[in-house]
Amino acid sequence: MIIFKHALKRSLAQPISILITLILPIGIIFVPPLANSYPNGIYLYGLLSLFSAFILSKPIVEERLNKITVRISATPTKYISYLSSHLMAYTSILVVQNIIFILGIYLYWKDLNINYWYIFSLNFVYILMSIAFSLCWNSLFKSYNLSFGLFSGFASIMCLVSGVTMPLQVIPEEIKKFIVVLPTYWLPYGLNSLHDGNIKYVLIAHLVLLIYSGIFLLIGSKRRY
Amino acid sequence: MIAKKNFIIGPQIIYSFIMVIQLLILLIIIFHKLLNPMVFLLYLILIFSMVLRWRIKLKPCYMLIDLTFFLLTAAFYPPASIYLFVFAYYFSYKNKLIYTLPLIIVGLIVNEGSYYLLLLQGLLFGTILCHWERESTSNKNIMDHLRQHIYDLELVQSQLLSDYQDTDRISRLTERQRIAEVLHDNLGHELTAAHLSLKAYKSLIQSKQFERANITFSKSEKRLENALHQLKSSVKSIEPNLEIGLLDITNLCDNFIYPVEFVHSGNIFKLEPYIWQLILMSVREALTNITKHARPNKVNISLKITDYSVRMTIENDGIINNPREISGNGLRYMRNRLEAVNGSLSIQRQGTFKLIIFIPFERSK
Repeated sequence: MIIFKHALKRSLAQPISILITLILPIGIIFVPPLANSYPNGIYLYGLLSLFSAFILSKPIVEERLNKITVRISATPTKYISYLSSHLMAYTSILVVQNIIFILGIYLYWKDLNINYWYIFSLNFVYILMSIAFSLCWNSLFKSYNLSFGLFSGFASIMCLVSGVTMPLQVIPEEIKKFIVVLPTYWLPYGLNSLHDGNIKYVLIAHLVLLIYSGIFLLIGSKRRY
Repeated sequence: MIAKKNFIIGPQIIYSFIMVIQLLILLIIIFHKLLNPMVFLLYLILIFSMVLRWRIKLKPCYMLIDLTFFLLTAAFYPPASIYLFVFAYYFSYKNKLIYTLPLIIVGLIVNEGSYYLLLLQGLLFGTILCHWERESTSNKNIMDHLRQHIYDLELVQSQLLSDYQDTDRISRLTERQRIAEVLHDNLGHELTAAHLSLKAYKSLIQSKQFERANITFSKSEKRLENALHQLKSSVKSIEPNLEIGLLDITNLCDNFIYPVEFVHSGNIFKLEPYIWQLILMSVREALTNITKHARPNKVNISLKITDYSVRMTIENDGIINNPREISGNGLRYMRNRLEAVNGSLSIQRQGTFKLIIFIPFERSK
């Protein structure tokens, strides 16, 4: 719990955390919808939470690079406790962001028939996936700046082709076969299924995102000094 | 010294590599059905299952839970049977061929050529890697055992050397005791008798009995002569032959196949027997190394003994460039023995190959 509080305080101490938690979700609420879909802000939230998770996971990378994790390993603190506390802290911040975003959608798009609970749960599993993905991505690099540079390019393209920034309806079927393997694909897929009333596919999207989280977490949690 | 981490391609790395290939083959097979979320979900579950085993060492029997899940899925959704060959690869690598029995039964039900082919290649690769892994583990164990044995031997050797020093001290004390006994038994009696005779001589002179005094004086003189003679013979019997060590080295040098120039300076009698033993052992090892690894025209051995230390250099000009042979076992053992008595061994390679041995010793004991 001490590590969790410390990680939370450390994350909240950064001004960028306030920006990504409170201001940016409000900014994307007002993006209007296309025909036959939810407001585009709901899809864009995928991009926002992916980058938010990456920025929030910076301390864990810095601690690894500054060899703080080596010193922590010399204490009675278990690595799993250290890692889970940090991840829980980042998840808590992003859940607050998610709640603010859902409240904003609820207040601004009152007249639309939106199942907020499903959107919240879908966003929640997407947040888990984003954090695990950031952890996994960062574990591959020895410099945060290099990692961030490559991530911004890769994540932007990934979000563009997988229906987060560009609607899934405009992407050709042949390309869709390839983009299915991208984890970000499953948020717009779930949202579209929810819009169409296919709850079964919404649940599958939940499951896929959860399994992706598990895979990324397993790879990213490998201790590297 | 920083340990260099060598990257060795072992069976585990090949297993992971082939596992990735197996999953890619599966992806290619299911590619045309990938838009079906169930197909992709099952594929992802399979990846998760394998990543979990890579990350956490779980018993192979737990994989039966995953297999049961896929078998049940295949019962309701037959295309899912194509995923099963990955399990065959996993189980055969883990040497649990019995667990692949349900896969063979499924094969009989499905009865598809591609299924058999995939199953067979999975079993084949898994079994080959399993045997490789077993052999590699066995070799590693043997190597570890040998390393442990060498380490134990080195430890015993250093303890023996330390014990040798202790024994030397004890034998010195015993020798002192023996010398004291010899002096007491042989000299003591004669000197006491001479002392008493001289006292008697003094009394006889004072009482002016000159004739008897002369006889007593002669006896005293004779006893003192006897004492002197016994002292000489005792010293001769006690004195060790310290030149034996030097003679041994000279003999070694004379009988060596290459010409050896041996020079020494300082007082050789200052050296303790165990230091002689070390010097002799080092010279013998160095000369053996020269016969094995060098083609010298001349070998120079220099032994310099000072008040507090002995420094020996063994130099040969027949250097053969093979850096791997510099720190062999012989030199390592030599270094260990020298270090056990606070000595040191250093090597210089500047045109010639020079061993420098330094052994400090206490001035007086």
